[in-house]
Amino acid sequence: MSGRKHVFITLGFALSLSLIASAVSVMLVSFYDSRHQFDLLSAVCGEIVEREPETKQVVSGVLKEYAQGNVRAEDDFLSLLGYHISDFSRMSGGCRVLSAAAGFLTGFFLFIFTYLFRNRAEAKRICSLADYLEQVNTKGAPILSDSGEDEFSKLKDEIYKTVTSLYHTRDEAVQAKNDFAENLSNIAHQIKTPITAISLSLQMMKQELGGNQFKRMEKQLLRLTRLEEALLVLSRMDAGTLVLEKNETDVFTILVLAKDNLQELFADSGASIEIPELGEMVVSVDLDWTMEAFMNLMKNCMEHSNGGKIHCSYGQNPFYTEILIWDEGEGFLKEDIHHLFERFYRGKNANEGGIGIGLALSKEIIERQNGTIRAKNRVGGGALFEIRFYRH
Amino acid sequence: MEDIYYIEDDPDIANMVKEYLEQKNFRVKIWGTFAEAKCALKKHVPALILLDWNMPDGRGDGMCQYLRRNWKELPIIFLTVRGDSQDIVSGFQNGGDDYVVKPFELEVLHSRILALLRRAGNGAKQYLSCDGIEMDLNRRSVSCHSKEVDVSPAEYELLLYLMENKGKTLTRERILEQIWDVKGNYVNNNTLTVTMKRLRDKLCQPACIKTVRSVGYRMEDKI
Repeated sequence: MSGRKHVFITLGFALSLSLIASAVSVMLVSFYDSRHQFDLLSAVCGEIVEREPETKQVVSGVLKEYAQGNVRAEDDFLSLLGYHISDFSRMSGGCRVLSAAAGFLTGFFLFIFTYLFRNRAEAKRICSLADYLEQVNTKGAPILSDSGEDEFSKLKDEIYKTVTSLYHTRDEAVQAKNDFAENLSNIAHQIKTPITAISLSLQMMKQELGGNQFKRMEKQLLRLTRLEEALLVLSRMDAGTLVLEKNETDVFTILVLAKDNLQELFADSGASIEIPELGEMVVSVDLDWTMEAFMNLMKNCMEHSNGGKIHCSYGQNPFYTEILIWDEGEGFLKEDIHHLFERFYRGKNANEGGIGIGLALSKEIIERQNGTIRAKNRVGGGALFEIRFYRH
Repeated sequence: MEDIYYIEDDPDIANMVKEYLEQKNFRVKIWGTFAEAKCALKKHVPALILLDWNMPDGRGDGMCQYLRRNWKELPIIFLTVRGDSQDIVSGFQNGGDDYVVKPFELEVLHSRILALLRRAGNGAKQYLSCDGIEMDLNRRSVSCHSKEVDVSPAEYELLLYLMENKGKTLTRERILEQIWDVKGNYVNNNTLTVTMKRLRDKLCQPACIKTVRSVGYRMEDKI
């Protein structure tokens, strides 16, 4: 049932009730009035006749004339004698005003009370609907209890339907995402099997034939493997299925593990990395992925520092934990610095084997853990990465 | 001649690994399904098992648990395409001794096999050594290239635990448990990292102590 129709019916009832009430009161008042008039006239006439019995004829004549409607009495004869309308009323003026005011005020208060009550009921309903929506947003959809029919029933029904369909859509989207990620991870793993077979036969051929002619193939295979791994990670990142398990993790441990895992690369390039022992500092991050992020940053520093030293530093205050990684190389080029963290962006001095994924991945990992990363050039030269993990 | 069972469903990969290992003087038998492998194990138990994760009739973790239940000391190496940290950790938790991610270097596989086989024959000794580092358990002393090194008690325990489990990957949690927790000192990751760093510094960054990504550490002989 629509709310408008409801209002019209209420209005109709109110109007007909007030019409009936006023018609009845008009009838009663006129009956009362004519009786009052009759009493008054009869009292006045009786008094006149009693005082002057010979006027009986005249009075009855006048009354007859008046009843037939032929009297044209002098206007305001009583006013001229100094009488007022209220002098002949049974009720006093104040009493009349009071009773009228009482009736009016009762009606008025009744109206206000009904209005307020209606408003309060409305507010309560709106509040309960708002609470419901809030619950939907925070905890999940509870079953909406039925609270009878009123003008909000339709709104309630529509909200409930919308929420249900939103949930349905979300579940479908999550399912689709998971399927997508699952398929991608399946394919990425399947690709590894032929890569392994190729790599193994290459190793066997190399063993049998010797020589350096397989170097190029090895390099490309390595690149293919890296691309496949990047594909896997990026697709998981985009599908939102990369789970970062936030645990209380020691910063020094993350940095040292990142360094350890890069040991072979560093040994080849002649660069070294210095991590000072600054005591225990705990951040709430995923150890493995944060280590991966730092490895990519260190690798970037290593590639551009020509065998120099790479430095780390870290510190903590009540708001955030800051980690600095810098090198002693040339620093970033001006035109590169705004695009460093873009996927597949390859700087002017980029390494030939790179694919432009490492820094983008680092940024995404750090930002998904309530962190920020900035790249800048140090005053004394050299590239600097500034990572901050915020507490809240 | 040691014999190895290789449980792998891809014949190309299996045959190449077999060919390589046979050149290195191993006897390799390939089993295409878990059912076949279980059948063969009832008749003969090899010196070592190479295990693929994804098989037509099941997953590697189930098979590995089966192997561990029946043969506690049998060395098992996972050889799989699944390189995620959770996969690797679950491989170790299910009883694997080592984990090699495809694509891999045949030489690496060979050295891991040798390391595991060597560990399998280790008994209690007074002297332990690895790549120039020597420990005298009676004197509680450590020397590096015949020069005595002064190590703290925690560093000594850490080195001893790695040495005793040479060739085997030890998770950080297990090391923390073994060296500190059992004595009632509950310490955190920072302590382990710092102890490991100081130990490595004192032993001049030995190549034989490896960091295993996402897992922990391993002591490894050079081949």
